Amino acid sequence: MDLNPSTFVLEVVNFLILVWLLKRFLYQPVSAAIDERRRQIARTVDEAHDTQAAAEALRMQYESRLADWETEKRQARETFKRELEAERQRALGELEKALDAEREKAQVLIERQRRDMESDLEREALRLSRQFAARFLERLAGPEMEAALLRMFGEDLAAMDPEHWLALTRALEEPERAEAEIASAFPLKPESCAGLTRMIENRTGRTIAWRFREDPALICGIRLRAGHLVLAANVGEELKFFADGAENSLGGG
Amino acid sequence: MEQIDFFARVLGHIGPVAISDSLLTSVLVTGLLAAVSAVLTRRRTALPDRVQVVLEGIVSACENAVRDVIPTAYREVTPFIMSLWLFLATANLISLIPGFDSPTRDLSVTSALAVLVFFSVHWFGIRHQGIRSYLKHYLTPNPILLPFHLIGEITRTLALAIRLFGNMMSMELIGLLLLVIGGLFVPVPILLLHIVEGLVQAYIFGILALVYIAGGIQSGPQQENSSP
Repeated sequence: MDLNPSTFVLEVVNFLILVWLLKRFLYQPVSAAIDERRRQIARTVDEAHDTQAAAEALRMQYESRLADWETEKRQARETFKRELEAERQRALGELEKALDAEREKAQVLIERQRRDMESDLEREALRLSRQFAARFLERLAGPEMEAALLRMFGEDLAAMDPEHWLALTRALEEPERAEAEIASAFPLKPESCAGLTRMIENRTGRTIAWRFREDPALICGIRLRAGHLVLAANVGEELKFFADGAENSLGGG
Repeated sequence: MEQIDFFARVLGHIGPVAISDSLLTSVLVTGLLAAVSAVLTRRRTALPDRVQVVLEGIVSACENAVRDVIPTAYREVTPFIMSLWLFLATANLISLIPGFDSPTRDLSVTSALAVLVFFSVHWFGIRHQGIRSYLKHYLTPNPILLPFHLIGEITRTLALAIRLFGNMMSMELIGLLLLVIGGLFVPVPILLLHIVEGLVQAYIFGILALVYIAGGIQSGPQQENSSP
């Protein structure tokens, strides 16, 4: 248990050598390895930070670009909306014009159809009125009425203008028309025929070859045909004349 | 009954120098630690293998322990404290190998280590504060306390040496007595306790040395109020 000076001194030396050896072969190499790894980790972390910063910058850039794209898209959409609205308004205008034209056309067509219908109705009314008048006058027609019409025809001839007498005379002067025809609905009395022919021959100054015949279409009254000239005083032709005149007036209107 | 020579034996002399078995064991431990360190740290890679991980763990643990106490000078102090821990742990546990005795059962060895701690405290203190500033702390807060400072330095060094020596010697003595009295397997539990005791004593010796060195480094006027 004594303190051995040799052991004491040599132990001091031994331990100092141990400290040097462990520092040389253990602490320094391992510390260097740890430091190198720390530096490497620090470099990796720095690189990661740089990469993260770059990624962040890229993210910001992409977000900015996305925002720009969004703005452009919104503007393009608004422009498209405006153009679409303008096009819609233009198409609506054209459609409105086309509809107006169609409406006017339809209005004209309806008006024309209405007028045609009115004309048809008027014609039908005229035809019916003519039939009615003809049927009514047919029932009234008779020798007395024809004698009255003959008398009226004679009075009209007597009161006829010289110009008309001149036209009648010229009609009788045509070689192929040197005859006259008197048509009546009923058989004429001889004295009535004689009085009528005598007055005409006296006024025209010509001897005329008279031909008499009966025509039921006249309904009542007579008709004088001399050449191309026709003088009438009968119900049938008067009704026809009335109806034609009314139809002409309808067609012209 | 054959007499058991428990204490350190002088195996021979080289001139006036006596060679004891504890010294030879210490040299053997030193060579073993140096050889193992040199071999294991020969190939270092960025991606460490298991051996390198263990080595880095040992070094990092020592370094972190020292840095926690001395943040400003841990690079300089760590090799000394780490050598204390490794040497004492190995020396304390080498007696588990049949035929070997722990060198720390020799008061000469523990005294040598305690004296090295004593001088290392002054060495690191003077290096970091300068000799005037370092010696000045013996006169603070009052020069009248200088003898107490000196007594404290001596007694704590003696305490270091005797604590380690006493603990290790007593453990080995108990194991030896149990072996002699009880037989071959009776000291086994004591040997298991001896492992813990050896490691704890190594740690205590190292940590006390670290605290003393930290006190020497931070004992100057500038460092008195600074946190460690």
